[in-house]
Amino acid sequence: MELNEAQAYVQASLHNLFEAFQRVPGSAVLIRYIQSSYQNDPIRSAIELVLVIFFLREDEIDELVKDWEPEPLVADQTSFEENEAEKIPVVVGPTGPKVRLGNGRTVTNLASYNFYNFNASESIKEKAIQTLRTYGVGPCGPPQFYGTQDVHMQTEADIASFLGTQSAIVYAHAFSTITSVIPCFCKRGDVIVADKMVNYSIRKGLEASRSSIRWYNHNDMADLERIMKKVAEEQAKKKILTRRFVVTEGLFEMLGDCSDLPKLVSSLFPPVPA
Amino acid sequence: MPRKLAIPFTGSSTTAQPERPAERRPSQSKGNRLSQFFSSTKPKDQTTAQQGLLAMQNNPAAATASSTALPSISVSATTTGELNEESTTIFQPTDSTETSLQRRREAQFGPLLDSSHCYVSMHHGEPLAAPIIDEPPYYYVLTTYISYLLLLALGHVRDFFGKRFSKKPLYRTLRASNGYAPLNDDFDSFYTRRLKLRIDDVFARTSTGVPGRYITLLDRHSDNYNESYTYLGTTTETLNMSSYNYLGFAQSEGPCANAVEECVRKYGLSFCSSRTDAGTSDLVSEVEKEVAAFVGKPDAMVFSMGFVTNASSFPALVSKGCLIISDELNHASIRLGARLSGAVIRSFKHNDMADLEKKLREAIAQGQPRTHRPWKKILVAVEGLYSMEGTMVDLPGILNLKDTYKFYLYVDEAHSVGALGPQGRGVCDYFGIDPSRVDVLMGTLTKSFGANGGYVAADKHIIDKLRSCNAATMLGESPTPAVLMQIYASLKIITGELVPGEGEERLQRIAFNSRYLRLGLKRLGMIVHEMLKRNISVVVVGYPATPLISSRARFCVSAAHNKDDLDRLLAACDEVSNILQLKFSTGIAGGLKPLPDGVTPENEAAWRKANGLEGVVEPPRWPLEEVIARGAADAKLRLR
Repeated sequence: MELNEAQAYVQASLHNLFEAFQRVPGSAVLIRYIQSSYQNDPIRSAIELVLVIFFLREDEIDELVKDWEPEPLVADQTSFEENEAEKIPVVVGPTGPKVRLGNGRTVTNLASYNFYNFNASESIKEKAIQTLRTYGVGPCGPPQFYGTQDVHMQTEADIASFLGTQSAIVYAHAFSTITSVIPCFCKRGDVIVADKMVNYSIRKGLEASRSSIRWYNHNDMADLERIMKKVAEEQAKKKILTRRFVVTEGLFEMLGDCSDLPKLVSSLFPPVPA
Repeated sequence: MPRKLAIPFTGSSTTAQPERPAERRPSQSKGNRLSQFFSSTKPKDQTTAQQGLLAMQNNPAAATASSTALPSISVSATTTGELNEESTTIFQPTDSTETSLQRRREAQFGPLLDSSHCYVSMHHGEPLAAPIIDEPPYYYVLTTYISYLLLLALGHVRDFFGKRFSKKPLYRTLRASNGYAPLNDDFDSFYTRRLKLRIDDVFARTSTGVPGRYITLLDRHSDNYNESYTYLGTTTETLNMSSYNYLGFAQSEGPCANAVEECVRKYGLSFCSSRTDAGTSDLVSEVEKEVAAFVGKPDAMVFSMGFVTNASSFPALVSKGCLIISDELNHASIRLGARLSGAVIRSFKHNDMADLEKKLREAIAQGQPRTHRPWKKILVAVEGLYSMEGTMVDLPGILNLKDTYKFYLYVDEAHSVGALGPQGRGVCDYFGIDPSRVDVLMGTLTKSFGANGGYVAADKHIIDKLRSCNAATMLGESPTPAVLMQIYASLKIITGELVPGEGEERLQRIAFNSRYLRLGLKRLGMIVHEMLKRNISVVVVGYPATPLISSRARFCVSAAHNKDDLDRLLAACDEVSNILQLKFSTGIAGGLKPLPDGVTPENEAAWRKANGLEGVVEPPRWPLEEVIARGAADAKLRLR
């Protein structure tokens, strides 16, 4: 029977083909993927199959383009956000221990970081005006392109000597300082161990660094030590040595307490034997 | 011409004093007048700044009179390279303080020599031709590569031995020691240590005083191959082609500086708080309103740093499940913002609309990777004027695509706002396009306005949402009063509300200056990347901002320059490029000889055919004299 022979032949060759396919590395993954996606959404995998067999024709793409409706650029403000926005005080005039608000009331100001009220210092204002009359307002360029002026260098030197360091850099924006400094030192593959309660800009910096980040409980030196040991062991096992950083805050913005710096330094970084 | 100039702020800080009483005298009188408006006693008055400036407008005579206390009838001969303006000034003020004042003023903002040296920046409807990239001859490309290879090889050899044997501190951060990994990867820091350090002297020159038309550099010297510098205490005044001072608002006197002085007296130096705490002042709200009105959007928000504006706005607009399609030459801040947002990022070829369309079709048809779900939204991010190549975005082309593909458009106008367009309002103004067709307009306030910071402008609901979810607004400090007032006053000058006519003059001068310079450089035979606006203390730009072998010198043109300054620059370029053999251009990108009489650009093709000149491009190598003689008139024609 020719028909039977043909059928057996086709079956045998299909079987061979399937076996050959299974021997290809990764084929199992592919089959599993197709199976699972079929289970989740049979129609979608059917469409995908169609996509594979027939490439999308131009007019089909046109239709898809026509059908696609993007979400609005921004979601509506939540009522919480609206409330918050309404509650933001508008300060009229200078800021200080007492400020006048947009609604005409004068209130005690406990919301500004104006620790010494230098903002009201006439001698500092005078100095600022003197600088304005010598330099203008903007330096008109980034530091690398002629934006560095002698005032910048002088300020940096003053800050360095105030803090007792060799040198310092001044940034234009306090909020972004730490965010841009962390990725300068911490690169992909490095390990950062950070306090769980560090502020938002530090978190953004950690995120931008692409390092692997571990968290220790807030101000818990024992926990920090435990994690550091674990990192060291892991690295010893893998025989790699990466840079390891501990990131914490001096005075925590969110909680108002201090890091235990003496303990941090003495326990984790014992003096290097000469 | 190095001359001894005491640096203010050093030691006793009284070194700059002798000059001060004299220089501040005119501002005091004006200051008093202004202060009446600023320290207005009406308690519910929230628009003091507005009034103060409007008052100046109502009294333009006084305002202009004070900013031009002396008629500028100077035919200065700065082309000679020496600053001997006095010798050629027709009108000689009798008072020596007046002379130094005048000199000082002109060093910040040069007088316009001829009213014909102006040009209105606008698009005349011709299709935006793809920029023609002229390449230097292969010989030079090859030798550049060889030089780099040599430097790389030398650097690696030095690193190899240095790390193993040297005791120098330079290598300490490269070695693992005491269980610490090296602080710097030798690979990461190789470019900085081995290539850039050799020529580090050209970067980050320190200056003093106002970075206006001239800039005063501190002379420095290095004994250890640029590892550190010793400052000699002397200064050199140079023509400033290095500052982003497009409209020449870098001035320490004039209406802007006066307004700022008053503002500092009234508001102090800082708001000491973030916007959501207690940093929202009447001043900042008002500046935001003005910026919005200027760029033609319903609402705007200002930030205290341009870089942060981008870096923090993207995460507030897009998130996971969204797609950002970004021009490949976009600035680092856009890339950082995009990365922090969590959205998928794809890039398209620089200013290539066909490629953008292809990427859009593919994205919409295929949806998100793996899941194939449709994208939540697609945001296309472009710059108005690209800082490295000087190309302008093909905005009409993008808007055509926008109607079809329903993406959102984010235009970064860091370099274009204030410099492009008949009214200086950026690319939309230049092309005559309604700003409402662009979803988000972002820009910096550092460049054209002589201030600091950046803005984002969009529809009201977008800005309201951004205000409540943008980290830099919620947690970052509010811009300082001085900066806000500088923005405010310079905006008012550009719009003509304050000192009418001056804003317009500044806008037209920058347009003329950039066209004149560009044409001149092309005619001399140089490859010019800059397209329309670039202000000369030259900026040397290298890797990583540009491809490794095409480092370039950048001239930042300003409205504060006049034709003499540019002629001086052209003469210097001519000389330098002859020494360094930099005249590479083949003529395909412009700078050609003018067509003979009777041949117009329209029938050029026919004329070339008739004379058998098809495809013949003569490399432009004009003599300097002719460039200068013809430039002013030709810069106003269609450039060729």
